[in-house]
Amino acid sequence: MYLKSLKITNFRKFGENNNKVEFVDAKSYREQKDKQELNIAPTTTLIVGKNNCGKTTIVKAVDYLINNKDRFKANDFNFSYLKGLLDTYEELIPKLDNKSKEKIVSPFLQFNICIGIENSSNDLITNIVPFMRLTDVDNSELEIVIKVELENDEVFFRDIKHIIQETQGQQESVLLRRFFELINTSKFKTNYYNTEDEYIKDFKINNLIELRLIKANNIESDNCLSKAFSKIIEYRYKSFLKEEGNELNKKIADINEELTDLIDKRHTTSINQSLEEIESNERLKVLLSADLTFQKMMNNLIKYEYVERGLNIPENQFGLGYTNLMMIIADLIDYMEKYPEDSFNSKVNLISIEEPETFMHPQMQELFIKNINEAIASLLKNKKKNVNSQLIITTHSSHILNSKIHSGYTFNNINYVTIKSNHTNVVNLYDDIIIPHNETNNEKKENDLKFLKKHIKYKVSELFFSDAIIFVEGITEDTLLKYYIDTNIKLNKYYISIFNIDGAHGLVYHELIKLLKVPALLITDLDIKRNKDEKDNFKQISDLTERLTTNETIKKYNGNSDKLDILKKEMFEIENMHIAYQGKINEYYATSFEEAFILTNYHNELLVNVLKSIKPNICKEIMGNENNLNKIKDNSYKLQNKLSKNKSDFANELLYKFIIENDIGEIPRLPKYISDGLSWLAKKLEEEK
Amino acid sequence: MSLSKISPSNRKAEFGSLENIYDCIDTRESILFNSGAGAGKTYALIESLKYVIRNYDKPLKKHNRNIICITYTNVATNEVKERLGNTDLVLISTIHERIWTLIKDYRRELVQIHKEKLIEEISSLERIVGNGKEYELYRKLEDKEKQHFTEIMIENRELFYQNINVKAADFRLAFQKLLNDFSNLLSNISNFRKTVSAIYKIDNYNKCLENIKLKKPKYNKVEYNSIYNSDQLHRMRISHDTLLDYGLKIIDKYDLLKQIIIDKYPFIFIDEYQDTNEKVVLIMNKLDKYSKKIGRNIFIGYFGDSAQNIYDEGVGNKILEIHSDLKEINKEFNRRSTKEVIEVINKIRNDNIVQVSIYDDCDGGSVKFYKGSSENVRDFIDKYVLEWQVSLKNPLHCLVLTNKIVAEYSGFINIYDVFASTDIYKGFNYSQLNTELLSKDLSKLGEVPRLLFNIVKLYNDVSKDTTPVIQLSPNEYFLNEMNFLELKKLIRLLKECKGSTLGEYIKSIATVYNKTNDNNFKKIIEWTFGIENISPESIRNFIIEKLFPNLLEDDIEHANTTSQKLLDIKIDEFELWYKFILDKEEKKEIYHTYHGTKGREFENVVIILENAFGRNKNYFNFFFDNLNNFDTLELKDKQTFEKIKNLLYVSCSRAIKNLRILYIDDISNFESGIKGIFGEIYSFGNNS
Repeated sequence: MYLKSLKITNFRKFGENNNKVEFVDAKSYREQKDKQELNIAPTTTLIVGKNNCGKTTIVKAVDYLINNKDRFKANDFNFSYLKGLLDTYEELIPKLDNKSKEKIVSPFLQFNICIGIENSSNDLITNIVPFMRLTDVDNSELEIVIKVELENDEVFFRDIKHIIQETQGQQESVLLRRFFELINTSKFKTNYYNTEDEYIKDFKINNLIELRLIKANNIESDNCLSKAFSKIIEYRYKSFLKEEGNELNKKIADINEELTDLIDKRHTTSINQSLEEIESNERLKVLLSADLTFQKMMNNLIKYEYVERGLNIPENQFGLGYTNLMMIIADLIDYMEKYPEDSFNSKVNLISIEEPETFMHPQMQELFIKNINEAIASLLKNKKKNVNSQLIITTHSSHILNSKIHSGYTFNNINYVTIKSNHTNVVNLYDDIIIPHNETNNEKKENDLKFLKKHIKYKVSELFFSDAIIFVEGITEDTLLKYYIDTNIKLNKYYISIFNIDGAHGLVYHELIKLLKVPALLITDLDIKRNKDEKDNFKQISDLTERLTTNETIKKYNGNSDKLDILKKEMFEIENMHIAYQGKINEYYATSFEEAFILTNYHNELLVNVLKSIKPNICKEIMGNENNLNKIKDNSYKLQNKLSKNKSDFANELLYKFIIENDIGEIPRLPKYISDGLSWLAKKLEEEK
Repeated sequence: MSLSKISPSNRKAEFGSLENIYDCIDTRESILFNSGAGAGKTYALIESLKYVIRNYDKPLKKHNRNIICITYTNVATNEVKERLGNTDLVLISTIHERIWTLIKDYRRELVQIHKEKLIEEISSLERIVGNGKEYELYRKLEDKEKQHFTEIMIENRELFYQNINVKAADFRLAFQKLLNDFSNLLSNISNFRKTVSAIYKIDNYNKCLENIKLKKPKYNKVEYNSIYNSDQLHRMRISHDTLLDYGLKIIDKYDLLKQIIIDKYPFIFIDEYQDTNEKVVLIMNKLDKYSKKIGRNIFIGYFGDSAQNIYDEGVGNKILEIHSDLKEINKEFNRRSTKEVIEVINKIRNDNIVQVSIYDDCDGGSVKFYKGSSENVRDFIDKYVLEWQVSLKNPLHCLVLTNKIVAEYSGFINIYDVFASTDIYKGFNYSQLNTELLSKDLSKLGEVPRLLFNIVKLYNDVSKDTTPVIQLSPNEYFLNEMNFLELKKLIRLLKECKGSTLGEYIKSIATVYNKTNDNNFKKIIEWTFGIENISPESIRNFIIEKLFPNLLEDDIEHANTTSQKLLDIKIDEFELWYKFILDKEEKKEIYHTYHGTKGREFENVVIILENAFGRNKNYFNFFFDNLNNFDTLELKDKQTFEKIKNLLYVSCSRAIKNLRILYIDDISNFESGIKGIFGEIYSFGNNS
């Protein structure tokens, strides 16, 4: 049995769409379990996303359902959902006396939990049987619908009617506030239904799902590790060393007796004698005795020290990163120790680790999943437990994401969480979605996937945490765009990732970009095809008639045609992508960014100086001795061609000059297709706000 | 659209009757709310419940008290739940479920009542054996001989049941050796069987008493199980009627229990009171009176209409004799039908409740009465299938007086015919068949129909993939210790049972049952059949025993062929019957018995009428004949007249818009009576 998915409706930032978190699918579950590499949990699900987008809410939802005992408050409801409800009440409730037959809905939260079932499992059905249908025995999943509903609709409607009448003529905000107060004071109840909306009685979700929360940043005191380990040892002592435990208890009792005896002789008698002088011992007398217990002994028994290069280092002198890691491991060991030894399961066991990256340096984050698994595997080497737990890690670390993608070599079981028009959006990353099925060429699909996973290593995982993304196809754009964005007051407050890809493979990313849902500017090139003759003569192009492109991206969105003369606009807008390429700039069509940059700024002194310093001979050849800047324009193709081997020098030199230039007016302008793209980006980001 | 506009004055007037109820709720004055068909009785009930929630939620919650709402069927339970919305204050259920939850925890007291019941049953059996002619030979035996004979027979119980429906000669052969000393008892096998059955029963009851005394496990509590329609007293198992009986006894006996109920449930609402068992009203009356005695307040609200009393065991208008001091509140609006229909049903009803439509736009319906003959029925229905553009979504609802026609048109005539030819349902008991085979209230089905229903339900459940697993489970703990593999095996075994006829299916079940060692499967089968040791023979014997209770020598063959016929009927036909009972038919024409439409409403209704009803050859003609001389009738005839009137009233008032009646007997003797109610009489068939 495993948790397959969770759909969250109207809870916190979750709305009614894109609200399904996929934990693990049957195939991955089988594969991950078979591998048996991960001892703590056969399956791991990652929830990634920026801050404040609802990652923690997902685990919190499960936690609430299991532990909250119906204490839901107004702020657990989605704000716009409540607002919408209030609007309907305002409209309908005054008409209620007319006995309209339509039923008014009362506020509710809904959670759909999908439980997967392995074939031929010996798990007990005890906790899930109320939801099973005959077909589910052979089917791999079943669904539990949990609704948090009012205890008494009628009482709520009585009060809401009252509130609406009372606040008539007052400001909308007064009504809203009263409405929230009402929700806060209303009693809610958790009810269970099957998918046919039939009420299921006598069921409690906490019988089926168990959740162990391991919070980030749980370093509370200097000796928290010692405490954590005492707890583990105490538990082990009790459950594994039964006879020794008894003996120990006897010893403790003996010690108590001895000490009490001693105290009595040396102190109690004399104290009582002194007291006698004040008040008769009949009324006032003390008894002092030793009170050592197993519990008390254990509390102070363990001293946790790091051993580093043969030296013992007290825990409070050690790095926070290691302490954090050790705390997580201590928590997990505690969990494993308490896991029952039965050979069967009747529960879904979830372990959630929240943002484990805190205090850890990048390499440590990178190795996090591997580390904890190895640590636990070795610690529990001698125990044979049929552990059936699922690990859920919420993170905003691109390194952990990276390591997950690589250790599993798949995008499956990763949930990307983002915000779209004030609602949490959950995107389930699947290999099949990222690289759509290619019927004719299966091999290509495999290769694309390989490529993408490989490239993830370089930066891609960072994209998951960005506000916006810019894809460029060369080092020059990569270097220069950063400067332009830094100085753009509309853009520099956002976290924008610039990602340099090889033009030929740009298309592979498109499905992934669509899934990310954040605005993405893809800067590509016209890549005008020239024949050998034209190349040799550095032919300038001022007309696209009969011209073809070699750019795969343009071909794809140009109706699968490489004919440039049928290109309609100077960009494509596809979902959240803006694909920009060169238009006509000062008479000519540029084939690359460098050429477009030169054409846009041919009379800019800074640029001309850089050109002259990088390619002195070529410049001389083009312009001769006279400083005719028009010549630069007319030879833009030749210049870009000659620059192709010195792109990075060119970019760095420009950047250097940008930085030391005091007069902003002297900085070259970006080509129009890019500045248009940036404006689009700024607009999109503004809309998101 | 018509039937939508309500004038403010009508609205106010309607609210007035609600306010009368509200006032009584506030003063805890128990009420009898009477309203004609389609008056919005359920609406008034829901509004009253809401009123209590709105105004008493806090005190009720604080003292952990609840409101009880009792509905007549499970369908109604769900409707009230749906319309009431979320609530944890109101407990909605049928009467049996509620009574059982009220009393089940008083195990010791119930066992005491059960003991008394057993003793009573034994002495009544002993009385019968002591006086009945059939037991004469046994009676003549010396006491010692009696004891000896009893011992022999009890030892050979199995042999007796194996031979329960063999011919007399074979029976004698089987017992000759054993009963050498009692050969004269075997002279009349039919009497012998009766005698021995009585001995067995007495023995069972005595053993049960003994076990209770010895405090054996399972004998420390009484069980009520809603899936069986007969008691098994010796197994501590009671059925619906006995449950009410015990409920009344225990509440009557223990004042503390009365007080507990009064304190825990200060508001009790009962829907469809007219068809509620007298015992329930007796219980309520006791609670009401006791609450006054101890100075507590309880409110009991009866909602219904005595003119719609159609079940004999229902309390009907006798309610005021049993539960005195009820405040009567009447509602005279009609929220269902067009004024054309209302006009007719008012005339049938002909009492102090004269309904008017609450709607301003209440015309546009029609009622027509046709005379014709039984050959016209099909044509008549076809005419309206066409005229009213009947479809699956807008089916034609046809109320048919003769059960046979309902069965035939609904597709299970063979089942009906078999039952109609059995001893317990032919002749004098014929009218019982209506209830015991066709009732949509499962607790009213006869013993054998209920068994068949359980079997067909199992068949249907297992064949549908969407069936909740828990539905197969005899009790809530049954599935708890199972794992997925065991469950898989169980379902596989259940699916292994197949058969195109009922007999084949039972045989298949028995084969798997005896072959497998899967206890889960065995338990489910035993639970479904209500007996242990499942074999085709044991089921067959059970059926014969129940359908031919006092089998005579000459009838054995008939009994055997009849039961064989029943077993040879296709399981598909049983499924049609099953769906009919559950109101799950998916057809364009849906046939109902007059009783089967309680609380429902249909756009268009066709009623087929005739003189006879059940074994009574002069039923509806009697009604129309005596419309104008009711007062001169004798008491018994008056009661009959009322019954017929109620049935006709309930039937006609189902229609929202159009109502057609076809009378298929000669009506020339009572045309004036019909005209008085339905107006012009049209002809259908050859002469039209």
